[in-house]
Amino acid sequence: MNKQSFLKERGPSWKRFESLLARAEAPGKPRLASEEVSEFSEIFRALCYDLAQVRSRDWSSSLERYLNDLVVRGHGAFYGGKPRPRGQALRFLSTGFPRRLRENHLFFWVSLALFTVPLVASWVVVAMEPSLAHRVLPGTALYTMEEMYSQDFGEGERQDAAMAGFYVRHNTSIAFQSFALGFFLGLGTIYVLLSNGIQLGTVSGYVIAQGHGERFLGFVCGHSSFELTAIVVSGAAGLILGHAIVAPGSLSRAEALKERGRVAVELALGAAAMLFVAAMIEGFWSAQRLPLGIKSLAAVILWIVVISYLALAGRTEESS
Amino acid sequence: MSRREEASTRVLSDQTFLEIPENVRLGFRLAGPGTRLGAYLLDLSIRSAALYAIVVVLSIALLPFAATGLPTGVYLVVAFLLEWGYGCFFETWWNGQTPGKRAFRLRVIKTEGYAIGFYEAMIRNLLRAADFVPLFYAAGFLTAMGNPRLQRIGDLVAGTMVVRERKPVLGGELEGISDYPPLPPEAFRHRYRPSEKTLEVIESLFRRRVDLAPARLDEIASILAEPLGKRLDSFTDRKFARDQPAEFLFRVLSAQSTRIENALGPEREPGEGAPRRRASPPAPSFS
Repeated sequence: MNKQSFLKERGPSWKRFESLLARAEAPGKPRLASEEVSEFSEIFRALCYDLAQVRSRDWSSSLERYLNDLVVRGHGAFYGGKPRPRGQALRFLSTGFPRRLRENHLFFWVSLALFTVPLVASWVVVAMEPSLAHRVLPGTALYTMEEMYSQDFGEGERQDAAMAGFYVRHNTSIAFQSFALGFFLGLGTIYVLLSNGIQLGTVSGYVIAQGHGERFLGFVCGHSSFELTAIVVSGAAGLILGHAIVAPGSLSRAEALKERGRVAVELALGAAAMLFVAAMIEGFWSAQRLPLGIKSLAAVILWIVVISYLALAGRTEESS
Repeated sequence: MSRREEASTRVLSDQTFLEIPENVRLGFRLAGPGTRLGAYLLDLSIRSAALYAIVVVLSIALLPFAATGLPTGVYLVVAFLLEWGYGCFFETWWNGQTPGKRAFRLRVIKTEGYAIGFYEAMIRNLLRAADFVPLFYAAGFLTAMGNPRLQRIGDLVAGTMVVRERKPVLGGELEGISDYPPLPPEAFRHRYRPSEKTLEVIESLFRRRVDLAPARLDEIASILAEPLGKRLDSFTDRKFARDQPAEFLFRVLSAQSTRIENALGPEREPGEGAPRRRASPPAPSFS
């Protein structure tokens, strides 16, 4: 068979494949009818054979490229498209995410320690010796903090929605960064956890030492449950990524990264969802002028909600 | 292609190969940093323009709620979603393409050659934060350069790669060949017909014709044109091959590609390709 007769014989079949492919790739719902699918697979296999034949006979690279590209697209269309089940996001948040976290609880505890130990330590140290706060944060930042808590909220014009939006963007961005920087052997994540712990502890110790404790605690206690837990969860996600590189186990590093990266990104997404809730609480609730008693009661309830969500959600199905 | 040749071409290749269950090896053309930067900058400007438009609309639509800070709040949330979700959204719903990637004909696919899903898109876009370190994607660039599939950090973790796409066109390599009227069939009537290998060489020269200065193009073309001209029939062909070697070679190629298209005849749309070409004046013509 020479090239001309080959083209003449096979060409129409390729053209047919092109048109089937165009419809198979189209993003809309109705793709190929069932008999067209079997036709597609039949031509696809013949196409692979044609490609091998063109290669073995060294018939022009443009023809080879044409067939190669056609097989590439066919391969993607034929094996790639998984059906997208509905309601996945809801199922993920109600059961998938807490389960994932429990499966990787070791990373959670390490992340928790990396965050809370410096937090508590710097809190205690600064509470005893407030001037040390200047070693951690610049004077202007401390002054702003003190200013902020030295008066009741909402004495000027309150912009709750704007603040909520700010927290969504700012906090979630930090959480995503903390996750992504875990790629560098986990060091980036460790740095983010430590420095956030130290800063938070310093500010808390300093502001309370200046005598604004009641207003400060009244503000932060409400959203603390969701926000602090989410920081630790995103830290755990980053540590998983770092661990995959440092200790890939029996897999190659590339394989370990791919496998663990999927788990890690799920935790990061869960953390993002929690931070969204935290931002809403922080924006619309935390700055309300209410007695400390009510605020701490709400805070306790929210902590119970967070802990039982992460510890219990999805457990019944898990055991079955 | 011998095994040794294969190994030596792979070193400098911008392709990556994959063996699929049907027992053929597929070549994927990888996207280099230049086009990816272009696509990124285009996406960045689209994103910024979208954000700007949203600011304008919001500040008008939510004016009554300005005191509560609602416009600012919504703006900040939208800015956040665009920053972190733009790439993920489009790469999930447009099968590995963002508007920028589409404009540059790039697509993100799994390293196994399949289409990517939500999680792959999410991972590779969240990990931009790691690629960006310390400044303007330096870590991502270096990682991609040290990687046979040109994967940045996000691609490594997601198991994806960015490939260049071209709509497969039969004979599409020869776009613009219709500017060259084919040598008439009589020229090939007797002894000689150029082999596929020879046509291949002409074709690769044809593709480079815009990059080469005309004099240089003729200089290269003459190496093949002269022996080829001698094998063809008439004296005019020989003279033509000597005087305008590049033009001559391209007309030889044009004649052959016309034959290929004729072989595919009925599938071609009318008014395109071969029929129009046959009407062009017979070569050689010196005008």
